[in-house]
Amino acid sequence: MTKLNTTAPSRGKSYEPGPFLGALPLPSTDASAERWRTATRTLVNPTPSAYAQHAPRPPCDVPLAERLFDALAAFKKKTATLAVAHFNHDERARLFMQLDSLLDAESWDSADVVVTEASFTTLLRMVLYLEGRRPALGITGTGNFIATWTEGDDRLTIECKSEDHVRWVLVQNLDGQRESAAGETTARRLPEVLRPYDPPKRWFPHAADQAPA
Amino acid sequence: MPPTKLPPEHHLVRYVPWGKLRKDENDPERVIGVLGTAFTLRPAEGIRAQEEYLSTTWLEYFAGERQEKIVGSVRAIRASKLEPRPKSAFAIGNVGRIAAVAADRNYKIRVLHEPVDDNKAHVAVRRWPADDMAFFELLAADAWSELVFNKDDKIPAGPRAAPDRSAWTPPPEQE
Repeated sequence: MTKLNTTAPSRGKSYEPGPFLGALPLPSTDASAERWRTATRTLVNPTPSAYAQHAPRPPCDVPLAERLFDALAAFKKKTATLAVAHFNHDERARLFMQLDSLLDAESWDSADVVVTEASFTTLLRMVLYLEGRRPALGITGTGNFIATWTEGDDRLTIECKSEDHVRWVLVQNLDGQRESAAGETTARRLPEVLRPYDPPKRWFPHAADQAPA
Repeated sequence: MPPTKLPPEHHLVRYVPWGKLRKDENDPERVIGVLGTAFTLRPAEGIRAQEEYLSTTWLEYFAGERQEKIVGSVRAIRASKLEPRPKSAFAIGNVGRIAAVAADRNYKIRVLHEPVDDNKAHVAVRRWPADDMAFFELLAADAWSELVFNKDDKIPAGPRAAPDRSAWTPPPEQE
């Protein structure tokens, strides 16, 4: 007699959204709870129109805490769609922790423009191009992300502007002598532009190898 | 009376919001310095005009030993319109060293005591470049890198407005 296999087909480890969703900020009001549910539905079962259901309000009409919350949700969604194949769970959790800390409404200076999704997209793409060490994050007062790498007196600082444009400054210490270099390029060309300098070679060895000589 | 020009041995205190502090790559709560973006002029936005000068506070305006001057500066900034957030910090830089880094890049800055209603120890750094990321990063790396945290245990909680008169008096030749 043939024994039938009655167990459900399996593709190995099932998708566990728990840790990922847990990285979202916790709702503090009914309105934010609804937004949280909407964002969660979008993350678990994204639809192209999920974020276009409400007409956008002018930024000045939206309280700062709400704008920060919305930005945070948008950045996490963007990470899920753009970098899911490149960031493992730990890296994604690390990035979300950085974003939570940076966009914390209690710490945010009200004079600063809330960071934009355009800048975040550039940041993500740049990090994926560079590989290697992941940066610490900061902001400009004009709504751009800053990515930084620091080792002793060597510091690389990159401002992520919209449409893949980046501004960078490298300060390095060579035998007690401080040297600096700066420039403006695109995220894709960064590995090539940084190729002559030692700290980036150490921090992003794969990118340095890939860049044309 | 023209504004007092700060002597090169004196110091400036600049409020640095949380997002403009340099963090550890592996611990976003661990601050390891200040970012150059902390020294940029605020650009125009909406009805707000672009800042004309860099706003700072004069450390030596306050009486006492260095720590007392720091306490006075921080509490005066807390009493101003800036409303520093709990995780923010204050960067301290020497006037002469800041001016030297600026001069290397052909900026002839002027560091002037220009009291304002909400901060009598306010200093305007004039002729400050609107946008020079490399200059700002060089300052953050060295000349303007000393940090004091808003939550520092050695600084009493709460604001205290700066006194109306400076504890420092200029030498006779500058009067």
